[in-house]
Amino acid sequence: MRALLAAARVGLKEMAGDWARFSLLIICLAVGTALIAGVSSVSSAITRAVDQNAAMLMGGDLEFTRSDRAANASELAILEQAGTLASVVETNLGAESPTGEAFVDLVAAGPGYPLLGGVGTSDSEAMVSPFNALEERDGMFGALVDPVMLDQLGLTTGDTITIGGTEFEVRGTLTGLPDGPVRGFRLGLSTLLSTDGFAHVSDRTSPLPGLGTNFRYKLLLASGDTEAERDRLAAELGDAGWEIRSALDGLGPMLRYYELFTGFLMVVGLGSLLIGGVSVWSVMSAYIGERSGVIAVLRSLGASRWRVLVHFLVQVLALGLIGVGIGIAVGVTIGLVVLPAVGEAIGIPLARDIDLLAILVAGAVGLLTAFAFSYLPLVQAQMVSPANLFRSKGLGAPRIDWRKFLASGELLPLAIAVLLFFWLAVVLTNDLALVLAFAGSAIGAAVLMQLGSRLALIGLSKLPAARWRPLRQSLRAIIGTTRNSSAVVTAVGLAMVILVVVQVLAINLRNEFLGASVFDAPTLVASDLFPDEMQTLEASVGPEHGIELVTATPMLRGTVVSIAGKPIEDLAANGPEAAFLLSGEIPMTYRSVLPPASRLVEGQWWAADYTGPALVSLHQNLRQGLGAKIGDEVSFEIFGETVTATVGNFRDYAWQGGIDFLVAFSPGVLDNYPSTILAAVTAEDGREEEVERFLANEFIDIKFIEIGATLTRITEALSQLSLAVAAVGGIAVLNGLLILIGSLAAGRRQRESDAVLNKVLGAKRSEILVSALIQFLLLAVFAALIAIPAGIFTAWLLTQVLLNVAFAVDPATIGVVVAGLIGMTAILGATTLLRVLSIRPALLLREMSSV
Amino acid sequence: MANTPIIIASKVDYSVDVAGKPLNILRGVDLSVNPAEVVAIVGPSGSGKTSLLMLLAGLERASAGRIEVGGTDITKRDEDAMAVFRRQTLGIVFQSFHLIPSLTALDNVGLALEIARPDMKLSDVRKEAAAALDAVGLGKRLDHRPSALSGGEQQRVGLARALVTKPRLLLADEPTGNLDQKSGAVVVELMFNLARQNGTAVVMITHDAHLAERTDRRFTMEQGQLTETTGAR
Repeated sequence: MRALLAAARVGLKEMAGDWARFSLLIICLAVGTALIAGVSSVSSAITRAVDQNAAMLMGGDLEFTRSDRAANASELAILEQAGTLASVVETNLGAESPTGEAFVDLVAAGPGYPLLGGVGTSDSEAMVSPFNALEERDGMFGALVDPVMLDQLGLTTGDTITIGGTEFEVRGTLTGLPDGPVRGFRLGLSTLLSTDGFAHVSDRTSPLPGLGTNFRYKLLLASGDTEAERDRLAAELGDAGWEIRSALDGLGPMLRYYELFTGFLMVVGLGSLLIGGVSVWSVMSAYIGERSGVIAVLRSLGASRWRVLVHFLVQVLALGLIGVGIGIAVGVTIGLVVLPAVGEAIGIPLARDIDLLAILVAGAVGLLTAFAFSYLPLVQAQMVSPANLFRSKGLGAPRIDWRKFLASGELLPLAIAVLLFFWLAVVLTNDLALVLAFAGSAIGAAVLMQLGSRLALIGLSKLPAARWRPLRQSLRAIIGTTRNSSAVVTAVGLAMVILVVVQVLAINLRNEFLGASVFDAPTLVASDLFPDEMQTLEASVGPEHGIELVTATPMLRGTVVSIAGKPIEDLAANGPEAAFLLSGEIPMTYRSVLPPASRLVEGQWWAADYTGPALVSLHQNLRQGLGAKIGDEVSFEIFGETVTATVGNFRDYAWQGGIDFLVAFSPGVLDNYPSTILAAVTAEDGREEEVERFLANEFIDIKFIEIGATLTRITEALSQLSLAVAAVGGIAVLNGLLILIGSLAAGRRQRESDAVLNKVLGAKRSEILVSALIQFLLLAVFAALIAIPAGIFTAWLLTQVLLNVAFAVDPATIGVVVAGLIGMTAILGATTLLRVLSIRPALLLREMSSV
Repeated sequence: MANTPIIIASKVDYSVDVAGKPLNILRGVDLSVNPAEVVAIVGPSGSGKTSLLMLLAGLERASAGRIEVGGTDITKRDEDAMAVFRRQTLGIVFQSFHLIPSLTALDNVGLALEIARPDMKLSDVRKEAAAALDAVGLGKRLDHRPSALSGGEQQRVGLARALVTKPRLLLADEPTGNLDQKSGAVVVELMFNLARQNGTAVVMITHDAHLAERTDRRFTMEQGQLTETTGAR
C-alpha cells in the first residue's frame, strides 16, 4: 500500500510542474462531460416535461373511450380502483336561441373533471369544478358557452340557451378546455355541460351524419407505471370496444419532434465523448512519448511495470477528476440556470433541476473516456526500456506489439472499460441501436483513417521530390514521421466525421421541423359547403371583411368496403388513421395536384391531366395501420355505388392542418358525383377574431372551425426547436475546434525539434511556418477526403436507426464546415511552432537534450 | 562469500537485427568483477562498451552466454524480475544525467529509495536522500530543480541517486563525458570515495585514459571483444 501511495505521490509530483500542458486535455474532458451532463439533463427534462405536459393535456395518465355506450358499473369499478377517475361525454348537437341557431361541439363533464388543469371560463367556480358549477339551480342546469356562439345567438351570461331541445342557463363563457389540444379536430363551437345536465337533454340527434358520441374516462393512475397499468386494465376490461390512449399517445406528433430533438442531443453527446476521447488519446500519446525519458529513468531505478502504470494512471485520474469535476459543475449549472431558457427556446416549460443520474453517468463516462483513451499510451509507457537512456537515439513512445497485447491480460482493463463505456452510452441514450450504429461508424471511420493514411503515405513516398522547397519539406515531414502523420489524420478526421454528422443531422432535423410547420396556415376551415355558399364566401375576400384568401377543395363522403380483396370486417385497424378509415362514412376528395403542405412518401403522384384507371392516394400511416400496399385495390361505397381504385401512392401531410384527406382519388373518378366543398379561410393578420365573427354571422348554417391560432403556436414551437438544433450544432463545432487543437499534440515535440534544427541550419521563420502550414493543410485535406463520406454515411445511418427523417445533404453547409476545419487545422498546426520559433535556438537545444 | 565476484560474465554474445541481418556486437565476452572493485572499460565508439553495460544492468538480453550479477543469473529473467534485480543490486550513472526535470534534487534522489524500499516511511526517505545529497556536497540545494543546477551539480545529484540505496554494483556510463575537467574531477572523486565507503563495485565506461588509470583494473573493448589491459601501456 505504501508503495502504491509512493508511486501515486511521485506521479502527481512529477506532473505538478506541467499543469499548463494539460489544460487542453482538462478542457476537452470538461467540455465532453458538460455536454453529456447538459444534453442528458435537457433531454430528461424534456422527456419529463413532455410526460407531465402530456398528462396535463390529456387530463390524466390514461384515457378510455368508446362511442357505442357509456361504461357499465363493473367497468367503472375496474377503472376506479386504478386511480382517480373523471368522465366526459362528447357529442355534437344543435343549439338555438330566440334569435338564431348554432352547431355545438358539446362536452359534458362528470364529477372530478378536470383531473388536471382548469377550464378556461369566466365562471371562477366552473374553472376547477364545472360539474358542481353547472348543477341544477332553480330547475335549470347550467352551460358554459363559446363567446362566438353567444354573439351568434345574441345571448349573454344569465340568458337561457336551448341545447338538444332542453333549456340551460348560460353561466359563463367557455374559452378553453384543459384537454382541448388532444381532442383533435372538432366540429362546432364548444359548450360545456355537466353529465347530469346532459342526461336531461331530450334530443340527442346529431345535426350532421357521421358524427357520433364519445364516452371518455380519464384516469390519473395511483401507480406510476402507465404502460403496465394500460395493459392490465385493457386485459381486465376485456372488450375490444375500448380505445385506450396514454398521455403520450394523446400528445400526437409533437412528441415525435421532441424525441427527434432529444435524439439529436444524444448524438451530439456521444459525438463529443468520442472526439473528447480522441483528444485525450492524442494528448496522452504525445505526453507519454515526451515522458519516455522519465519512464526510462524510473525503469533504470528498478521501477516495475505496474509502478510505471500507477505513476501515469494517477496522473490520468487526477486530470480526469479535474476535467470531469469542471464538466459536472457546468452540467449542474445547466440544470439550474440554463434549463428554463432552453425550455423557453423550444416551447416546452422546463423547470430548474439537477438530474443526478445524468450527472453521475456523465461523470462516469468522462472518467472512463479519460481512462480508455489513455490506456494504450499507458501500455506504451510500460514498454519503455531504460536502455534508451544509454543511446542518443530519440526518445518516444514505443510501438505496441499488437499480437502480444491482444493475447495478454493487458487487454482486459481496456475491454472492461470499453464494455462499461458501451453500457453507459446505452444508459445515456436508452437506445442500443443508436450506440451500435455510432460505435460501428466511429470504429469504421478510425480504421479507414489509419489504413487510408498509411496507404497514402506509402504512395507519397514513391512520388518524385517536389520542386517547390516548402512543399518538398512538408512532404518529407509527413512521410518521415508516419506515425505522427496518421495520428493527426485520424484525430482531425474523427473530429471532422463527428462535425459532418452533427451538421447533416441538424440540417435534416431543421428540414423536418420547418417542413412540418404550416407558415401559411388558414385561420378557419369549414366543411360541406355547397357551390353557391362557396361563391358567396369567395365574394367576401378583401380588406372590407379582413379575409385574405379562400381556397376550396371538393369533398364527398364514402365508406371503405374492402382492401386488397379483404372485407373491412376482416381487417384489424392499427392506429387512429386506420380506425377512422374503417369507422364508416368518411370524407374524401379528388385532386389533380399534390397540395404544397402534403408530401409524397411512396409511389408516384399522377399527372395533372391523368385520365387512366382509378387511382387512390392514401395517408402513409395506412401502410402499417392496415397493411395496405401500392397496387392494392380498395373498394368504396359512394352514393350507393361501388367504386374500386388502385393504391397509387402514399402521402403524408402536415397533421396540424387537418386540411388534407386520408383518401384522395385521381381526377375523373369522383368528379361526377355530387360533392360539397371544404373551404379554408385565411384572415389578415390581427383580424382573425373579426373574420370569425363575420363568418359566424354571415354564414349561419356553416360551421367554421378556428385552427389558425393552434397552427401558429405549433409552428412557432417547431421554429424554436429548429433554432435550438442549430445552436446545439454550433456548440458541437466549437467543441470540435477544441478537439482539433488537442489532436495537434501528436508529434508536436518532433516538429518543434525539427523546426529548431532547421532554424539552426539557417531556415527563416517564415519558411518553416509555410512548410508547417502546407504539411497540416495536406494532412487535413486527406482527413477530409475520408471524413466527409464517412460522416455523411454515419448521418444517413443515424437518420435510419434513430431519427427516421427524410435524408438530404446540404453540400454548401458541409463544404463550409469542412473547409473551415481544414483551414483551422493548417493554421493551428503551423502556430504550434510559433513558441519555438520565437525563442533563441540555444535555449531550446539545451531544453531538448534534457529528459 | 565475500570473495565471490559480484559480476561473472562468461562467453557472452550479443547481436541485433539490422535490416533482417544479425549484427554481432559482443563476441565471447568474459568478465569477472569482485565486490568493491573499481574497473574501467575503454575503447573506441561503437566497439560494444555501452551494450555490455546494458547487459550487466539487465536492460538487454544476451544472445548467448551467461551473466551472473550478485549471484543472480540475469540472462533468463523476465522484465519485472529484472526491475526488482536492478532496484536491489545496482545503481546507474548516465553521461547525460537523466534527472526528472519536474522533481527537486531531493525528490530525484528520494525516488530511487521509494522504488527500492517500498515500505520505507516518507520521512525516512527524505532524511536519507538529504544525507546522500549532503554527501555529494549539495546539502544546500535540496529543493532545486535540475534546471537550476549546473552540469556538474546535476551529475552529483545523479551520483547521489545511484548510491543512495547502497547498491553492490555501480554502473557508470561516461560519467564525466558531459562535464568540464574540474567538475568531472569532483564527480569522479566523489564516486570513488562513496563506492569505497559503501563497498560498492564500480564498472565505468570512459574515454578518459587518466581516469581509467585510477581504477583497480582496466579492460579494453574492440570490435565486440573484451581484453583486460591492466598494467599494459
